[in-house]
Amino acid sequence: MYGIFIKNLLLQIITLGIYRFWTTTNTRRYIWSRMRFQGERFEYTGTGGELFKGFLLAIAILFSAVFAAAILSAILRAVTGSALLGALPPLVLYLVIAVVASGAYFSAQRYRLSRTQWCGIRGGMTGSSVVYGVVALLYGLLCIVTLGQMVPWMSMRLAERRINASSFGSLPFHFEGRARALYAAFLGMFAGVIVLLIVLGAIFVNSFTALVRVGHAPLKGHDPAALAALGSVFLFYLLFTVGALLIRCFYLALVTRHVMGNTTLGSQLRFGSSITAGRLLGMMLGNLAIVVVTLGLGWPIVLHRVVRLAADTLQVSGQLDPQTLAQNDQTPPRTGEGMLNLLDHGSAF
Amino acid sequence: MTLSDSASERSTGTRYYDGRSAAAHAATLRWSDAFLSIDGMAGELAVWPRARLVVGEPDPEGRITLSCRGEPGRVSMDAAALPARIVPPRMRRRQYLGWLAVGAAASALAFVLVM
Repeated sequence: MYGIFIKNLLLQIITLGIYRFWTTTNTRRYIWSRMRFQGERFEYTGTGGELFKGFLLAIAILFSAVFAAAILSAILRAVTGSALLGALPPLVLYLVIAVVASGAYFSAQRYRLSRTQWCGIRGGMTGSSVVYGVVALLYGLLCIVTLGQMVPWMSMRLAERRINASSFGSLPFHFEGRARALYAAFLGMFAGVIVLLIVLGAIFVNSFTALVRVGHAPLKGHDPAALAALGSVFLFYLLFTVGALLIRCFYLALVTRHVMGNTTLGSQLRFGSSITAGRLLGMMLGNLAIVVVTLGLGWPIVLHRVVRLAADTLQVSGQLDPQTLAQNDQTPPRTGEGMLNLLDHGSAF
Repeated sequence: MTLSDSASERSTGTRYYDGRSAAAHAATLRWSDAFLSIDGMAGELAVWPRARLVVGEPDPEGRITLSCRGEPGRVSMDAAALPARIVPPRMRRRQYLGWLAVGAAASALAFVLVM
């Protein structure tokens, strides 16, 4: 893994990051080839070229949309003289970007499933990523209106849409989630994050007031008060992000167990997960320490730890009969996850 | 589901998957200059042009997947049984260029660090 990592790192440096699509592919090929089910290995058949083409396509679509919105806005403003009407195309553009960004997770899952093979059989997905994006956007608005209280319901409905649209070979995945089972843990997490925010806010209140005093005045390099205020705010942000992530572990572990425990593949396989908040917490803290201590050079170890935890805690009961598992009849996408690479941080290995 | 780094469970033999079902067919490979013939118990299962062969990532047990561009089938076999000259010249050249680029990048990085 270190051989792949160092080669990828150096090639990314000289290609100014363009090689990252091939990096993703090489890493996936390595990980997939080491995952085994019923004694047979998985295989990743995607290519860096497909990811790169998908990225270029996504850039072309997004730039065309931005250009069209700008032209339309200028025309509307010139014809009607109304600034309000002129603001309409950019507003629509933001909505379209939000829909496409949400739908990107759906299309990325479609690409990854279609490039995952086991015994020569690939996965697939039905449905539209745009519809998924619209639904995700509407659910997101509902969450904002209810101050986040619909998050468990939303995550279950979206997981249902993604999983129930998926299949492997001729067998469909099925999932039916219940937000009620998650709500108590969600409330605990929600309260925990708010308490953390209040406690950290109280500790760092002096830094905030100092920063307000600094205001919009240009920051002088040697002004210790301004630098100390900025440093404190950064520390606040860091502590809050890490603290909130650790509090979320309990909820994330429960969600994973619930989703996996209620998912089946055809009538042959039933999934489950034995992941606990403790193991998740241990992995996250360990990974954080490895990345910080090694200045990022421990990334292959982190990746190994993540995949090993996923593989160790995933439970599969039942037996898949290779004789009855036929090829997937969905047409595989020609390019891959460009929108996710463009609009998301591209965290997926 | 397991993640493995070791060659603890070595599976032997060459298997062919036709891409229509997940059933494995015991297979024997016959290599000629231009083609790979895959023979099963009942006769020939597939014939692939060597120029279109794709060699997959070897797993810790030393097994690789062999496929042919444009064909749905797959062959799972021991990497050791693969003829030494099977890697197509284009791939060999690409590997060579890749490592050349890595060498150049490493030299550039070392130069920047030293300066």
